[in-house]
Amino acid sequence: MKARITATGFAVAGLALSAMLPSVAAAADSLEALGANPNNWTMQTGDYTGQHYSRLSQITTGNVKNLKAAWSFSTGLLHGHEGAPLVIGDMMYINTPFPNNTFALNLAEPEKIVWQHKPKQDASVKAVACCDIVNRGLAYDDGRIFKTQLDGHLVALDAKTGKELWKMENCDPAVGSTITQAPFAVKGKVLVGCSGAELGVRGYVTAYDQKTGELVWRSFATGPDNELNLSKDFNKDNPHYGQMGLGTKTWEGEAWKIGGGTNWGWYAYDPKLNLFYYGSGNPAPWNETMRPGDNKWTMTIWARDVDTGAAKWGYQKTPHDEWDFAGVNQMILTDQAVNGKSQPLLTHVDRNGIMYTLNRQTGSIVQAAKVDPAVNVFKKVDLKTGLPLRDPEFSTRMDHKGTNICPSAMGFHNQGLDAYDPDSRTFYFGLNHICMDWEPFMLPYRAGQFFVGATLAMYPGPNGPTKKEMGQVRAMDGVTGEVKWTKWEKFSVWGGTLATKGGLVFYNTLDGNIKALDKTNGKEIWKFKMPSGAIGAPMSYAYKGKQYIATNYGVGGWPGVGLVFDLTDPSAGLGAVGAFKELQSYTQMGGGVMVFGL
Amino acid sequence: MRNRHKLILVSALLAATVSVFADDLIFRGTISGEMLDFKGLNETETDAVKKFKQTGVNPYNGNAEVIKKGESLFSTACSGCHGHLAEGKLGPALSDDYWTYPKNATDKGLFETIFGGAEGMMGPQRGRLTQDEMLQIMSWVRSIYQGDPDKAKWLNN
Repeated sequence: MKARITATGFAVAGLALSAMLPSVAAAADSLEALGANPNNWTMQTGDYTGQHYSRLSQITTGNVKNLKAAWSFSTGLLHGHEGAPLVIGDMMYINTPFPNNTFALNLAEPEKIVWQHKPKQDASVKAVACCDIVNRGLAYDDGRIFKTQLDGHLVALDAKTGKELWKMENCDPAVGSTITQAPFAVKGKVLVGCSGAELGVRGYVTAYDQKTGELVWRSFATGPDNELNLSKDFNKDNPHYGQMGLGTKTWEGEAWKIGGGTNWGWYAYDPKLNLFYYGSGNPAPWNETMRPGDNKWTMTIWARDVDTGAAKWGYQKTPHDEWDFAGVNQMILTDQAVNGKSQPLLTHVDRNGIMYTLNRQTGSIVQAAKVDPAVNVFKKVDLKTGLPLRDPEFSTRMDHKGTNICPSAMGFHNQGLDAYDPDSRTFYFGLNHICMDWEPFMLPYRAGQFFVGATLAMYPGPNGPTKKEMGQVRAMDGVTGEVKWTKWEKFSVWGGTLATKGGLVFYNTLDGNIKALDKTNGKEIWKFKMPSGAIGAPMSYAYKGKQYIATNYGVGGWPGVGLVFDLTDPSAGLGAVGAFKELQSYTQMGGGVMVFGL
Repeated sequence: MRNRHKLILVSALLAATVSVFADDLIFRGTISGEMLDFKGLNETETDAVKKFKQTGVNPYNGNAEVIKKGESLFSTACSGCHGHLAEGKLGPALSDDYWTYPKNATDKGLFETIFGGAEGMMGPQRGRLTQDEMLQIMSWVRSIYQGDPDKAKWLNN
């Protein structure tokens, strides 16, 4: 029965199956079985590896020029639409920014909304969201939709009816903690973190039981070892990364309690090792002078046991951050040969501009290469010690205005979801190319209020063909760090990329184009201008034998804050607003989903 | 004169049990235009707040001690978006004479925008700051004004 469903792969059957076998093990199987069918798009990262790759091959380099809009859907909301819709069988599930409405459409008749879930939230939570009121999408497992609300709640809905099954408060907006992250469904649990490092929120990842909403475990990013939930042999393969006691010792006094390290990015999971991977974010406040020490374990790539949350290894990429290089970006799992021997790998492009490839079983570093030579905060990463070698010229400190620091606080890579093509062993990274000036200032901590303490101005990096480019798509080898090709963009490629078996790399632009490149050379062969700029990545699904490309549109997020700002204001020349001021001449706010087919 | 003061005090005490004073000004949301709701706030209205609600004039303007407190409050509640010196960052500058919402050039308008929120990321501060703290912050914002004195409408109230 199960084999047949995997083969034909229709999720309707999958849903029926999971309803008949309600055990937790069957649920995990069912999600993996659904994901194994390329007609579905079951999670934001594409699958547990995070490769964000579609095995559908109907749309090719040869026929993509005939790709046309098939249908569209307005969410009725403005602001940044991050994430992407999910497709399971004949249903599409769409999520929105605050107030985090969810819509279910039947692909047989997408004109009609099957159900909608519209939570009521106190608007004052908007005041503590750092960078627009985005949401990075839904998760699905075993007949349930899992969603997050800006006001800190994790909610489970019945995928058939949209009925609320349970609702848990995971993050407390009263102390400035919100959720913008997409939840991650794995092994009968839902994993979720919080946002709020800009308000001094102490980071943690929590697992909830999918059925009951009961808290299973919670592991912190800072603090005592038991709260960090370190396994006894933590970092045994790389003791020089640090082991016990450092979540408190690398802070002054009790600063770790308001030290940030929130995780609001993406997860990946290796069923063989039973480990999941994610990154903890920046320490608080941004002003480094106010928090001496390495500030462990902020800015860390974590490998934790999915059943217990216990950490097997952790690697801190940016000890004592000085630039807000929040380490939460996507983790992509691949198996590739290193020096002729196959290794389980994890690749991660950090905000700091370094592409890290580690052995995901041990945490050992295989490669740490700059995604662009403009990176100047670090000269290089010492592969033996794992430590970055800083260039003091681009460090930040009190009573000093740092200039021409690359990358900017937005990072050369941010929340985008990038693709890996297993056939050519190539990553396609959607990148920012933005540098900055940075000037810190002192400020007190108050619960529920901003705890930043730095003034920034951002502008294009130095390496674009006209020196005005702020984004690029770059094809790279994760093991050697070799750059295969580069496609420059006027604005950040904020949402990331989707690679398909048809030989294409799809991505969205901030000014509202969805584009397709030839994966072999980066040549642009198709584009379509959408009603508003896009800050999520496209996804692909098939229905009734036909492949579709679908994407959210709706400009916003950190790079789009300028568009929700009054740009006739003469002061609109600083920070992200200044860098992206020109965006207003290309696109305006909007929000919805566009679906393309041949 | 003294008697009149007493009378105001007594009527204020009586009115304190009612959510809106009979002679309070009407405060409206900057975007919605609807009347702002002051019910259910977990705070005791200070004399300054009561006075402000009747006159629309911030009694803390020019009060050096309060302005200092306002600066500290601004650094945590507002500087994340508006910048350390209100020079503008994710949100607009507040020290110049350009206002996204022109009514912010009056203290009543600025209070309405802070309390009830505006477009974009300017969420309502209702319940996050007390009304008295909002007035303290406003007194600092007015104190760092660098624009044309003729456009400083709050001085002409």
